[in-house]
Amino acid sequence: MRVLSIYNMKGGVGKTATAVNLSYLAAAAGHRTLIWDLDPQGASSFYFRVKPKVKGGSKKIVRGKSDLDDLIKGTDFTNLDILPADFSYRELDLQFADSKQSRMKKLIAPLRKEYDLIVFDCPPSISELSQQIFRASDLLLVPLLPTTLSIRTLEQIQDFLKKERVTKLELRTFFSMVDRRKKMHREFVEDFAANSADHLTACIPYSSAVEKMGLERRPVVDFAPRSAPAAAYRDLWTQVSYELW
Amino acid sequence: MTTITTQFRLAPDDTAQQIAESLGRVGEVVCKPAERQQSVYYDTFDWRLYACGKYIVVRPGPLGSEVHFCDARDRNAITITPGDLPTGFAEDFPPGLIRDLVREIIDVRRLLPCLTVTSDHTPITIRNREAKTVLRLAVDDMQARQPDGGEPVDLGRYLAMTPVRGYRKAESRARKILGDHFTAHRTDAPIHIAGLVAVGTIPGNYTSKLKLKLDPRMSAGDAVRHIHLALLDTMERNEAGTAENIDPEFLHDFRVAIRRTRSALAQIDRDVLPPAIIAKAQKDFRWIGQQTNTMRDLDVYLIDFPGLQAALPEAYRAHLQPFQEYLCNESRAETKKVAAMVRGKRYRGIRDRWRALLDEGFDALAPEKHTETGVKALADARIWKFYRRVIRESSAIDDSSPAEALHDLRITCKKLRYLLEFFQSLYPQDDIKKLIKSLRNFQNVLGTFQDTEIQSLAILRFGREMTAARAAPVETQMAMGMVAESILLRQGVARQAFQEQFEKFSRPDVRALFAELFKNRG
Repeated sequence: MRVLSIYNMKGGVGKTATAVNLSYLAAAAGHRTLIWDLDPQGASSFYFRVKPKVKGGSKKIVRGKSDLDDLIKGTDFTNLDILPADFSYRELDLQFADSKQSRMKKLIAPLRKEYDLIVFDCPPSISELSQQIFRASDLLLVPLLPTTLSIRTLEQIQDFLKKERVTKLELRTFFSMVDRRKKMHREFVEDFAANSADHLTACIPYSSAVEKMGLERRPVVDFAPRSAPAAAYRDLWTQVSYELW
Repeated sequence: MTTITTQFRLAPDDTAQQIAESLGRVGEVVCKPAERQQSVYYDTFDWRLYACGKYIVVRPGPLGSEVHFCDARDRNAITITPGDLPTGFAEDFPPGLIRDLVREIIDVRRLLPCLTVTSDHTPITIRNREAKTVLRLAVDDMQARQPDGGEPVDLGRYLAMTPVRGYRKAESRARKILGDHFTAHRTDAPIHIAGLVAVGTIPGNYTSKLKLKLDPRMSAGDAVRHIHLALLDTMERNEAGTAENIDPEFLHDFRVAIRRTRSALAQIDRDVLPPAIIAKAQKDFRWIGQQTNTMRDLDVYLIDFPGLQAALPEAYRAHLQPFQEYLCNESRAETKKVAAMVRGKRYRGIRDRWRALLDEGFDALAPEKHTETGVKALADARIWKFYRRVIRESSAIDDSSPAEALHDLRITCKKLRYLLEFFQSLYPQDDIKKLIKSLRNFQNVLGTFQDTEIQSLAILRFGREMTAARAAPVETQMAMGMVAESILLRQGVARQAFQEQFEKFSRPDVRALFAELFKNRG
């Protein structure tokens, strides 16, 4: 089983859209996939039409008193299940604070036989929960906007990983919400790609098709498979799956 | 990911429309129009999936063709993989747990279509207020037929109900409604088993193991005829697969049937057949065996290839590629020769004459011999003789013995093994199984020793041939040298294990059991 985390401490960079579409593509490729919607806002759960609620809340999960198996819901897609969000996840930082740093890794260990891939849709923060996620993951996928501020947050993440001595985690970046009509975006993407070894070349365009996911409540790769963002997500999945296996 | 589908047999007048209408209280019902679907079920030639309670079916899914690997007990799909089975080998599955699981069952065998089920498929979906699917149902009018065509056979109308994980309430409510309104009978038997039976295929009807049922009151002549007929059946059933090289087990089973036939001719036929007949048949079957030797040697190399490659340092592995290509090319050429042999006049003549003799002419040959000896007396005498020979030859082997001594012992062990297998039904099952198992472990060591001996000589020959054909760059020759070294290392390990395995085989309890079962006390 491999664990992929879609993470950025900054909000609004396309984390959930990425998590939802990559999970769908992984499942469609035959990998038994679980997406865990860790964001209390519950956007992934919403996209899959699943109520953002788990019995017993996050407290019971962290303490190991809830069996994750009982909280998982099937999505409408083959090979794809979801562990929904819950409003109590906003307290996950506090709940993990008293645990060992490998607590999250231990929590998901029993799912090893059932799934080939777990995708964490992470909330935008840098906190105790983030540390738990970093130590449970094999690959940290960071969506970036083609802006200076976004690159600055990447540096902060890299510094944090160094400071916390998270060494067994691979980090990869890619650009999201790229507007090819903007010269600055185009130049930024090209310059960054040329100078970063950990950067994936797949580039998700800014598109109203992605925004329509809220109306359709399905991944864009499902309802608009021929759209530009769907093609870009497929491209991204090809590169990510190469990194994972 | 567990989703267990429950299946019900419906009455002919229960329709998908009626079922959909009755489920309105569970949620929003979406009933799509019926569409024609085709599912193709797969298993290996020797029914390995069936034997371990699994099945594989290729059927249409929402995004195209899907391969379902399922548990036959509850029809739970262990995994669903997009695509189909382009080669039928375990490599068709994505790398990881599932490929390992499939490979563990089918090993080097190829999955072959064994049944086609065509259905008029009406999917029914139940959704909740969020328009989320909470239950899936399907009504199927099914027909089965052989994969290569033939007349379709009606299997009846079925309802399949698949709950969505985490939405159990919908399933239990639907189950109650269906129970109240329809004459649905739950059927736990997988539909493909009913389909196979309907088209006249008996699942599990081939195994490479000898499963003869001999009656202790049989005469030796009857038993020998029975044994030869079973071996000839196996040979014939593997002919086509060998000629087409569908997978290496066809040739393996074909050769084992020939070796067993030759062993029977030498060990047990002399009490029941005239010497001239035996001598002719021995010559014929030896010739058939010889025609397939090279193809089998190449198969063994190709089967072992991933392991041989993995044993090399990573930097050298890619250099073995020309060697693999050479083996594949040679294998293709050799397959053509074997196919020509199997379809040729000489082979067919040998096979048909042998069949005619066993079917019709057998009783006329030395009839007095057929009734003189009982099968039990024959079995006791031959097994006891060969057991003592194995012990004698094994005891004479020490660290300085030449490889030929181990090779001869291996042949003697094989003869003993075949005798035990021919006559196993005459003895208590647990006892005979124990003896076969202890002999098999001993044989494995001898087999590894002999296989590595052949492989180490063969790789020299391959190297020379590749060099002559300018197909082996220096790097490849070096990598092949490393392979030869790893083979010789394995041979050394097998030689060291010989004494340990012989001690196990010659333990007092095993000796006592051989004596108890086979030593003639009269």
